[in-house]
Amino acid sequence: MVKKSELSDKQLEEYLRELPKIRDHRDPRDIYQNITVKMKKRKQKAWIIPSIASAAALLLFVVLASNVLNFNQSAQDLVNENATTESAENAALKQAPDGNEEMGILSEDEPDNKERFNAEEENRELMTIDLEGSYTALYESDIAGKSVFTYTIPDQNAQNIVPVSVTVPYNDELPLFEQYKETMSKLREEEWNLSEYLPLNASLSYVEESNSLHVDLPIDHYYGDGSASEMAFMSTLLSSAAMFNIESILLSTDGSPGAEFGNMGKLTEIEVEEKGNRAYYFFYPSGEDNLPYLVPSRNPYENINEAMDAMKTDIETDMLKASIPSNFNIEDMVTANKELLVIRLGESSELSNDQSMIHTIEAILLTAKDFDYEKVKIENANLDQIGKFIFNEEWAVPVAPNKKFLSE
Amino acid sequence: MDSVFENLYSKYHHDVFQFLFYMVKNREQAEDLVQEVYIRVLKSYQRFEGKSSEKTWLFSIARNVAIDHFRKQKGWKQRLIEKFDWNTQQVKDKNPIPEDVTLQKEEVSLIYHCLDLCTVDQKMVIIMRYMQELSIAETAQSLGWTESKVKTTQHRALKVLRKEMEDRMGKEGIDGEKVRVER
Repeated sequence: MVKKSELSDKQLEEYLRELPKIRDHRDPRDIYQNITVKMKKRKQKAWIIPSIASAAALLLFVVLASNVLNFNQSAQDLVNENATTESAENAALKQAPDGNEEMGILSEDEPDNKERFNAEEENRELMTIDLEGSYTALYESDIAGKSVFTYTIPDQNAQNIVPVSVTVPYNDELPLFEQYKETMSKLREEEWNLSEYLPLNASLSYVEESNSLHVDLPIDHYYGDGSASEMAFMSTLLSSAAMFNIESILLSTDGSPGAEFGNMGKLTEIEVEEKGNRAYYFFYPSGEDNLPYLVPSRNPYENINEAMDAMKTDIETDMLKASIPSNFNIEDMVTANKELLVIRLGESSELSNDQSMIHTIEAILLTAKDFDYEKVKIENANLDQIGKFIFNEEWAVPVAPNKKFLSE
Repeated sequence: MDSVFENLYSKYHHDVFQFLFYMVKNREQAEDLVQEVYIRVLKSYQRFEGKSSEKTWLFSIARNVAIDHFRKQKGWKQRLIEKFDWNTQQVKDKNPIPEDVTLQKEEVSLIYHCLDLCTVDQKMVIIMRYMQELSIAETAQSLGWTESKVKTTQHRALKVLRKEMEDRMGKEGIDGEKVRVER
């Protein structure tokens, strides 16, 4: 009998390496031929389905329309029937059941109609419920009795740095900064389609006297490997500093001052600069069917007009999508008072009444917030309201972008 | 021919083909799937910006194609039934070894069959790591995982293989002597 665990990993690996190499014997030209044929076929298919769908829609319309016409018809018939009943007394017996029959149809139709109304109302309710889940940001009403922490986390390609906000129950026993640090380990970055990044591989401490953040890195830290990881690291520290109004960030490595970075060299301190005046874009790490992240642009803009203009075009290099659709036509923008931005839409604007418009509004609100506005009003829209946003009224900017929930 | 296609074909075609072949163990299917990989590649090549290496990018597409293939292939019911069957049955290979693939050593042939007992994730890691000789980092990039996930999956996969190999060697009496000699 063979004894257990006689196979070492090494042996297994060896066997695996001995598996035969498989080659594709086909001529590359044949393969290319096959591919192009398939790609063409798919393009054809692309229009077949929509045309079937529109044919079906047309059919549905015809059926529904004829129903409505029939209903009118039968009501008309009833009136005629009644008239004859009255005029021809001797035919009364014969006519009456007929009339009843018609009545029967009519009363059958009635509940049908009611049902239709109910269905419509339900639909409307569904719409509002649907929109309920479409807000990405945290608003004042979401945070009663809670503390809000915003973390910046790189996406899975380390291309964009995504601000993500979570709430934790209010707790006055532990310093806020400690709670902020503790929460880092509860973030579920991978589930959120971001990269596993926090907690940092460094010890963070807040020194109250000097209002500074001390960051002690291990010797073998990898935050200096490449510009992307440097950027992500700096952003995380800067956003932490911004959240706690910290004035300076001091770096050390294993207790001794300074930390080495590939591109920036040795740094002992990071200058706390206030970021702002950025434009918010949509970012879909998990496909456009899901909620977007609202991500600020890498660079600031001169003024809000420029920012809003820029938001109409994708930033392809960063996989960021335009957050303002082309039919959202801004006629002019006025700073009514220091805090209020009034946006007046042009006549040609056509806002769609759906989830994506909510995200557009959120992008505008967050951008306005980045330009230090506190409220936004949009006038002259073709809709009265979308979700909780009522046009021509002042909306408070969100508390923080991209809300996420922590697991317990 | 398209230059993108030519370039990728010359550099990686056989690697990708081999990966897909061992995933599905069927030459015709692998041929179809590798074509699907190219279709997706050609459609999205302009979106590739050299953030990751071309190779890992291509493998990440191949991985998606393989996963989609498995999803399409079976309904969940069948999958469930099969799962129960596996435990009781001997490894029964639905896809016999293609004629042109010769497995001389019995252990190698056994490991070829035992690969099917790994989960799809484990199989992908094993193929990438040991047959394509991708590094942990490259594998992680191709699969969109963290490196630690690659390591644990690799570890678990080897564990599954070892257990199944040993069970079968014992039962089928594939000569224990040989194994002992190699100890």
